Amino acid sequence: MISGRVSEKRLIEHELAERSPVVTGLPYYYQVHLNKLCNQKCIMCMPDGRHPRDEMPLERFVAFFEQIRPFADHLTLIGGEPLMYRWIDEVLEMLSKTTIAVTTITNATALTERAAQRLLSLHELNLRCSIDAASRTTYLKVHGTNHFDRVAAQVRRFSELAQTKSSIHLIMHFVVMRENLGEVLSFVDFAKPYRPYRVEFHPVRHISDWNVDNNTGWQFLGSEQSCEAFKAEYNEVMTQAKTKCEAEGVPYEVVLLE
Amino acid sequence: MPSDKKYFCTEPWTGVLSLTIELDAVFCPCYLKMKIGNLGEKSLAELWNSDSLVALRTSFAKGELPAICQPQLCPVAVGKENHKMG
Repeated sequence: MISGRVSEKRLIEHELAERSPVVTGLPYYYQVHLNKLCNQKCIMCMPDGRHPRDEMPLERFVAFFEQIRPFADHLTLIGGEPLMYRWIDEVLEMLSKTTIAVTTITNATALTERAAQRLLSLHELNLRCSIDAASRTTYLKVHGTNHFDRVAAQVRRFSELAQTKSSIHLIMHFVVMRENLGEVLSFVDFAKPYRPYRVEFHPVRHISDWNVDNNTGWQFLGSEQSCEAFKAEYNEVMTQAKTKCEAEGVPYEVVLLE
Repeated sequence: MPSDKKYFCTEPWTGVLSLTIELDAVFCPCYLKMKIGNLGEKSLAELWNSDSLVALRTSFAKGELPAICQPQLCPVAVGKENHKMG
């Protein structure tokens, strides 16, 4: 008997191959916004730190999940900070009973031993940790909090636990701007002992007209921080990062600008 | 001069379909952030065949990069060669 997931996927793949504009197959990649609450003031996100407290009621998540469960291949959990979602234990418990691959994007401040164990129970996980710095000073500027040491310790612990399960992937993410460009290469050194599945360097986006601060005494001018403003230098550093990752054996993803 | 470059993106067929706390369904949440309706008001199948998504599929079926995708920094719009992985 063909499972619902396999038959649905075949249907989508058939419609994809046919380039059908109107489709009967439903998507198999999903993302769900669990909450808006976060404990950081990232300069490129919500620098005033006034995160709304809205969250998805658990019953709403369950109703959605039951709809997609038969055919979903992949579900990304986002926030806010998803590990601060009131019902994150329940959500991970539900997901652990399926073969759905999960991605979650976290600042890793709530990546406690308990949370790590819950995450490790998933069939497949991409844990994308937003770090964006290789030093306390730059981390404070970018994230607006002094959580660097806590994050480093918790990610290290998660990395150790994850080594026993090949389907658990630690991704260390770095949003590049003028202020942290000088730490791109040292981030490769920082990340290497964690044995990440991948390090990612992506240019900061959607901030070119921002003039904001996150209460650290640093005024962020989007026109200066946007990578388009120093494209040649950015591309040069990204190329160096690529070379360094290859030399160090650290899997990577970098984005060059045209 | 018209470009003979062909563009194709699988996402309008496979997802990503994103759902907000309020059940708003958003297609391509990382780049386009295209709102296609609300799951409290329409079924998943109806949302997935919204006019805007059908239009995207039609463009990609012809090898064209839809106008709303042109300013994006995604691998399809900027070219996969700009996304280096190893």
